[in-house]
Amino acid sequence: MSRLSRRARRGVTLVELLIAMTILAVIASLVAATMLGQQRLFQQTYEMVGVRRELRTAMSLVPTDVRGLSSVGGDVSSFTATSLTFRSTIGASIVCAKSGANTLFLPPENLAHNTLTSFVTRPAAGDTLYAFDEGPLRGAEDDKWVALTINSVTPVLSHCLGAPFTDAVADVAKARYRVVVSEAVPATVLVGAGVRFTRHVEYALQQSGTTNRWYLTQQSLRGAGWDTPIVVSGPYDVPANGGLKLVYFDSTGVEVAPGGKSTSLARVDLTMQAAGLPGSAPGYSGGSATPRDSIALRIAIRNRQ
Amino acid sequence: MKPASEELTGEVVEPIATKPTPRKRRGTALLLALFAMVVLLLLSQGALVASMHEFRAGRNTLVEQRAFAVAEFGINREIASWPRERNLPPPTGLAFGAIDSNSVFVSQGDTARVKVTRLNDNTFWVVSTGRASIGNAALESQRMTHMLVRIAYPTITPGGAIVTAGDITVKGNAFVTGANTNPAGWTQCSQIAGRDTFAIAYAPGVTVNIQKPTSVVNGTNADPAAADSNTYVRYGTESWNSLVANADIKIASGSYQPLPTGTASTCNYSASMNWGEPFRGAGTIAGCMNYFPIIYVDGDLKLNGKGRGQGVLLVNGDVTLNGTLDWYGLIVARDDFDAGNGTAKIFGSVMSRNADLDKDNVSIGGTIDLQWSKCAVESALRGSAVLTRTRERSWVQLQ
Repeated sequence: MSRLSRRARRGVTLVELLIAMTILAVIASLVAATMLGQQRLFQQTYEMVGVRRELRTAMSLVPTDVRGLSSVGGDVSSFTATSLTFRSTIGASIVCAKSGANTLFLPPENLAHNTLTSFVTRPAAGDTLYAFDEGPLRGAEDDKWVALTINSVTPVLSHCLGAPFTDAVADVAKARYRVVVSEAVPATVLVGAGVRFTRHVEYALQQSGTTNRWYLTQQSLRGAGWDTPIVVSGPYDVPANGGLKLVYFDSTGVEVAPGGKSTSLARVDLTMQAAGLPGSAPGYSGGSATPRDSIALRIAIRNRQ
Repeated sequence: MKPASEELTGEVVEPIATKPTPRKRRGTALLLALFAMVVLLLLSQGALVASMHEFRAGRNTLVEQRAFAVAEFGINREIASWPRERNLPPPTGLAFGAIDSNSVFVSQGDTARVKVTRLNDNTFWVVSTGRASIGNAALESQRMTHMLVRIAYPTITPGGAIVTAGDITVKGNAFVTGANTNPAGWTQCSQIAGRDTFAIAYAPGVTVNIQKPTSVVNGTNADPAAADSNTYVRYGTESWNSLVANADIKIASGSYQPLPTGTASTCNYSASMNWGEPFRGAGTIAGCMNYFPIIYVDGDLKLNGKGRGQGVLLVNGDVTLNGTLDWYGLIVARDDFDAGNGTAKIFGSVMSRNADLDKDNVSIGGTIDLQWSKCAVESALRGSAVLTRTRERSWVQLQ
């Protein structure tokens, strides 16, 4: 045949096809590899951001509570390498008026000119109020904080109107607080005495029953019973791998072993290692691993003398 | 006209296209490349956003930590540089409920606002609000810390205008009274409740020699506390040593003539002979009226010439008055108190431990006028007291 049809001449040979397919395959594999790499990078970054977010959450919460506890005042109930139970300060105020044997009044939270009342969370029945008792002597030798059990905390408008602690005009419509306590308030707890509100809390590393992973939890004691633990942050590594490690020291820098004298605690060293999704980070020697990051904090207890 | 090839061969040969038509040139490579680039861009963007988020979160944490540190700095600096005139009873000192406010500037716009509120006689409420922004106002973070502090008040309760562990002689024109008397013009005395006490409290068994009965008002008292050496060196949480450590003026043994130095609004605290201004009214150094220093003399003290002062005078030896002295406050002498030749007017109390028992102990002569004054003692103790944290629960982070 001397003439090819127009249609026949428009095809490609098998060799051409193979070459084209090979080139395309190479290009596709390169693109796919790059895309997978990028996706892995994104995943790793995302996981690491999550891991650090969890660490930051713990970092913003735990030191604030631990700093404010009073070791010398007996706030620490128990301390181990993976848990700490103590009275957390949830509020501070002053006595602006007294009534009867067991009723105190506190100024409003949002005073026009000052901050005399501040709550992390509103105190409730069962919490403990510590009132500063100057004692009969003028010096500090008989000062003490008297522990009083709170029966109720009620907003009122009737007391502490005007000087010396509130503005008679700007603060008149703001809610004060009437606090009724179980015990009689000593006469040496004067008007103007500082008060602290505390509630028992426990920070611990606990394993989830559903995911089997470890989380930092916070648990509060309300009245006679403990609340259900709340997950603060996580997941963390298992305790054996350093998910949470608490080490305690006294004021001379000597380590206090768990079970030791809690009133001597002056510093808590906190190490936490958060762990992301397993397999979402490159392994040290190839393969994949769990993304991890850690923080180490030294928390000086402020109320230790 | 036929093409040349047809003319040569007689066959009709269709010309082979040397260039593809526009339709044939439409490949998928460009689309694939664009698609891949978009996907890569999106993934990169995601990673970038995540990284930026991480960066911002880290930066916010940094700013928060700075704000907390600034708040702590503010509160500590306020307490370290505490103006002690606040400690005095109102109206001279800070009134109950009154707010004293200061700002502390650190760097890069980081500041602490410190507010001091007086709660009652002894305690103060200090709140420090730290703000940090690392130079960018949009990033400002705030933290608030608080401390309940109190006056480190030395518990010294003199049992008389004179308290002595040894023998005492009152002679000449001396006059000693236990009737409570307020110094003229001291406005804070209206807030200090005082009552009369004995003119002389002495250790049981010592010799009390009063030449003229009219020179002593409110009598004498054999007080076991006057015999106890702790009375002269232990003052509750404070002590002789702690007061010496906190002394504003420390001078060696010698002869001195104290006089206040300053103006109507300023006081020269660096002058070792400025022991405060006890007088009120015209011709006085008003800037030193609220200055109640602790003066420690490491040895014997002789006061010559015409001098005056107020506060707490601790003498690690004998006190001898040769000149004219107006002293309002408390004198604690480790050894003897001898006012035989001087002309002195003292409001407050004199405590003489008489550690050196081989000498005459307290000798009050000349024209000394020694009047018990609760207000003068209280003002001296308060006005010279340093500040201390309340025990156990002074510190709280409010926000």
